[in-house]
Amino acid sequence: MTGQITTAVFRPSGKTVRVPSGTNLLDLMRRIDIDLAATCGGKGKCGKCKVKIEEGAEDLPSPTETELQHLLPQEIKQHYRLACSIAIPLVPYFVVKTSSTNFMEMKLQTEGRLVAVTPDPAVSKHLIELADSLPSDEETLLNTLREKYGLECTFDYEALTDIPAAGLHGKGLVTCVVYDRRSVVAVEPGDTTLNCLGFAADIGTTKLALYLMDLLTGKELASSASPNPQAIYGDDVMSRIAYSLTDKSNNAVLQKAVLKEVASLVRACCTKAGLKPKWIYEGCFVGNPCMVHFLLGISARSLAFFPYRNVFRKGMTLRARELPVRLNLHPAARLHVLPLIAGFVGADTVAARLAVEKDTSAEIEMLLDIGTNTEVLLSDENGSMACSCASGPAFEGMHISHGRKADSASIEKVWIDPATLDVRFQTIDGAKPAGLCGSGIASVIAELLKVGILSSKGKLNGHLAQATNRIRMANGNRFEFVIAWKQETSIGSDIVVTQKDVLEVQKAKAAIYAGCELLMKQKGVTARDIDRLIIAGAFGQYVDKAAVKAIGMFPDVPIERIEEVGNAAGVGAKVALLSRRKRQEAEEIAESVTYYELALDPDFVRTYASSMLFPAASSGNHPSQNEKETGSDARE
Amino acid sequence: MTEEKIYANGPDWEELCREIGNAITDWDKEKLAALVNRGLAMGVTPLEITKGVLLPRLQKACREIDAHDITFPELVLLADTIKAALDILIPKIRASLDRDTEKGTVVIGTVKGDIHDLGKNLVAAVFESGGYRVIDLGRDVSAKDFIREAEKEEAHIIAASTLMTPTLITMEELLTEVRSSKLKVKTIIGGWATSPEFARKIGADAWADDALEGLYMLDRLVEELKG
Repeated sequence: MTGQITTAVFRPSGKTVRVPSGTNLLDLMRRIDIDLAATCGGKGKCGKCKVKIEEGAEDLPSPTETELQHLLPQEIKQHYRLACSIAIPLVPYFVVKTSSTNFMEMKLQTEGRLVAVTPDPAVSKHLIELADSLPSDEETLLNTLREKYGLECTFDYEALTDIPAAGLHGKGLVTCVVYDRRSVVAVEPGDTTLNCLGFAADIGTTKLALYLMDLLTGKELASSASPNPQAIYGDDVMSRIAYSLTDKSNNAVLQKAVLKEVASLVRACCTKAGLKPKWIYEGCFVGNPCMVHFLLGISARSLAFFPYRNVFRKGMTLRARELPVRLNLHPAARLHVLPLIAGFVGADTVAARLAVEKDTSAEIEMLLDIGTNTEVLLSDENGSMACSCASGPAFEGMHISHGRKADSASIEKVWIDPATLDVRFQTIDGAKPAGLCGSGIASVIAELLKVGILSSKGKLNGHLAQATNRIRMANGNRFEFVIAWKQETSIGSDIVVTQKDVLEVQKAKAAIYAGCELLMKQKGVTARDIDRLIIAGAFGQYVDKAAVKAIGMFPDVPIERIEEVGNAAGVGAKVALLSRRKRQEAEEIAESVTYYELALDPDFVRTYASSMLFPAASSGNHPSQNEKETGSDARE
Repeated sequence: MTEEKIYANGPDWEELCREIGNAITDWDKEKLAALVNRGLAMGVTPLEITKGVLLPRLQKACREIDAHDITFPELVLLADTIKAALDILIPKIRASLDRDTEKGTVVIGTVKGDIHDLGKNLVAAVFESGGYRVIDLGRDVSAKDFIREAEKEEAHIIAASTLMTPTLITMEELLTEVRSSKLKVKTIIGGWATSPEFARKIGADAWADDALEGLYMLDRLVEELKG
């Protein structure tokens, strides 16, 4: 029978291969990169390589003893099998569904196409049975790892110190923790293979987000976020670098501040998930170059001065205990930081690109990762080019009178009736509003423009104060607009948009628009050429594409080509935590992108200034295309 | 085109000023350039145009931004428009000045490590249109270059700017080196990251909030030097 060809189809990926019958299913899946969390290495010990045979099950031999041990009777009836225990039968089609729990479920509530990966983390755990005749020592463990799991390893010093106690208390079983398939970093008594955690962390200038992940299943177990505590030393990266340079000890102050917050986020996640932080073996970090330098305690001095160089670029791995703040992870835990691109474009941008599924049909693609610094990545057949725009934290809800982070009490969408100028709004979870999140801010500005309360120059129209009591004078000479009255809110006061808020939005969106425009000019690309515009970042769960388009945050790309993908940098951090292949891909992305320094572009100032105007409400075109029109309303 | 005839009939200075003002408000560089050229053709001098309309209009905008009557983008666009007119006039002002008529020589640049030169460019143009000989060293200028050029050009003033906070350090270093060079030169600093307190701290002779205040300070500094 062996040697005849069978067509094997894998779901949900749809991968199809023609293979000789008799091929071991697990071996085949590994060869074609469909990874399962087979911690035992295909020896029928762990039962984790469970798959469902959707077609061709009848032609398989009856389940083996091993399979019967790991599978429930009803599972066997439904054609669940262990991939390690079966050979592909001689049938025309053999259809295999890989168990969905082994896939990372992390699509956000967005329509963007984010990658899904099967876990293949840098940390792996391997169970070793110690026969009575065998001593528990380095040699025995290394031999077993080689023979049973095919791993050529060496021992870390600390792992050696683990051996005696593990052998003594393990009742004949020890678990070896292996890093990057070559270093034994710890030996634990008994079978601890199921306890294998990691975390992914997105270190933003304004916000930190941390995700606790199960490295075996790829599932997110808990997440937690908090403001970046370095903010008291400066809102933006430049003022923080300035702080770090004023005294020798300040760099350490910044490093400790962020590490302590990471430690408390780890604690918070573990509490939520009811798990112990000592089972965390690895953390994967992303962030902009400046945040990454601070995190690692490396002076960001060279980033403060033209030509804005990074001290390092490649991804790196260190031991958590090498850092000056204890994170209380497993004593052997590693931390991995994704690579940087150059200048102010860093690991967060690499991670965002890593998280978004490639689309080979899109020739020209633009990715915006919106945050305090917004990165723009423009790719065409000649490669990718990236720039960083100092957009400020307005779209993260900061520097806005009633701005706040996206949560149940934030207004995410606003409607203004053009006739009555009355307002309807929607909070994320229908709770009483406490403020506006980034998408709410974009939405209210878009509506104010649409109904003519806001001019394209960004001025609130005081003449309309007679038409509605929602427009009123504040501080004597500036107008503000009331979105929600005191009795509608949970904060005991009205929620308003002020003239200053409008200016913050103008500055933020102008920085982003100018970055897009100048990169496009570099590549000789127009808005119409862009096949795919991906919006990632600060907006939270939801962004109204029409609203961000209406305020002129990016070039006039047809709306159906715009995809929003949420916090892609955070997803990228998770992906890189879970998959060694993706981690390698991150290095390739970082290597292949060219950095473009906006401040050196002679057209920057003019482009930035004209981008501060809002597009004319009726045409939807950006003002740079019809300056005459906007100029004329200035004389009114 | 019909307007030309009105002016050809006899220069109407107030009408020209009003039209220039409108062109600036409309951020219409082309119209502004045409008006400036028409004024020159009518026999108005470049300095009369800068002092009579352009600089007062800029000053008004600076006051308006302080009072929140105009927004920051409007100021940037307005300054950019005025700069276009200054670019026409400055070569003519430069040609008309000589050792006797110019008010003094200024060496200007952004400090080492900073490449943000929008403000500096406008300041240089305003200084020049105010009757100073300006040597613009550009951006990312080392202390050594500032000092060498100041010496070579026998400058009265070194004007240094920085937008970014970290580069305040290089500005302080510049001031230290200028002092130890024993050059007979006055220093003025400005830019978003600077403040009057900072200027005092690093021993600069003057600080200015905007280009016009800077021009006023130059007159005082040069007076101190000469007097």
